[in-house]
Amino acid sequence: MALTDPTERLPCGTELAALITQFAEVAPAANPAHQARCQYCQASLGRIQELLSDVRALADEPVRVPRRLLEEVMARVDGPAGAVTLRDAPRGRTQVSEAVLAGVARQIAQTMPAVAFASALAHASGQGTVVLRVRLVVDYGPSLPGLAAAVREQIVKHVRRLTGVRVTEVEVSIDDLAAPDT
Amino acid sequence: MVVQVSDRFLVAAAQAGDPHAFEVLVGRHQVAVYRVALRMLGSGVDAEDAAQEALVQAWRGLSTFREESAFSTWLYRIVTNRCLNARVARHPTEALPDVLIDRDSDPAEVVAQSERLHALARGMLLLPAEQRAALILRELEGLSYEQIAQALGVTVPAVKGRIHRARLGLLKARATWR
Repeated sequence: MALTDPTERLPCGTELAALITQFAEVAPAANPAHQARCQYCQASLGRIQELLSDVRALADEPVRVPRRLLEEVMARVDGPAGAVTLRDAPRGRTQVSEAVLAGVARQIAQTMPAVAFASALAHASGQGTVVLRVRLVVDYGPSLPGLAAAVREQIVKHVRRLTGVRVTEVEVSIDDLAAPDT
Repeated sequence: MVVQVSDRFLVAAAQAGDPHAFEVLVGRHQVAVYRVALRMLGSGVDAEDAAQEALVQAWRGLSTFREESAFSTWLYRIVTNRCLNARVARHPTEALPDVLIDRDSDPAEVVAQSERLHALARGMLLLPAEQRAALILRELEGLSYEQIAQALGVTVPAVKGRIHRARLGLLKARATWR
């Protein structure tokens, strides 16, 4: 459908496109004296103003995102697939997935004071053992080596307690400072 | 708490393989992705599909994201491309969600505005898709010309031309809605 003829002119000879540019770009009129007294120009400018104000109103309309969108996306996002096998038990072995170990480590780090956000990855490193890599966003203030050591210590202790997996290494990197609260 | 964390950190963590960091990014950007799809396609169901596909594609393609552009611009690019290749709903049903009723406003004026906005959203669906995409990114999402050029993979003058033609098309079509 051809809606648009960019060269269309009003009966007074003014190009409609020029009026739109004038409005949208807040540019000066090509011929202000003519425009001020021309009924066609004035009528068109009124229509343009109404259109642009409706476009702004449309932009302000709240849009409700379907609640399941996030869920459906995350169901298709594949995390790490590996797992740590605990020492063989007489009646079947126990495995803890890397995803669970990363989640546990993240939550432990997240509860530490001055940690604004934590991301964790886990890699099975042998029977019953895991290596963790933790990235932190921290609040401005505390000693960073002290904070890293405290995070490491808590993770080693609680991962062992909660999952039975022994943490052989926790690499902690402080990657960012939290933006101040606004 | 999460608002204090930069996209840059979350993208790096997600690129390293942390789905949780990606989930936070999705939570942060899903409204914009869905809104673009809704205005591009005119149907809530189609928009949900397109948004879901775009976000999954973003996860799978995260390793190709370089920080030449903002993460949001990169997402706009993915969702817009999906919508440019999709068909517009023949009977747009949810081009426009309900207009919020302000207690103090005149009900007749609210209805009139609702109808005008509805017609506008539908009129946008009649524009050529490239023009519609540029207009949406500019007027509804508030991107700069440079960001739109990155998102659409065209030059800034081309973006300006598309937006201009889109406005002209809407203005001319407007007479026929009444």
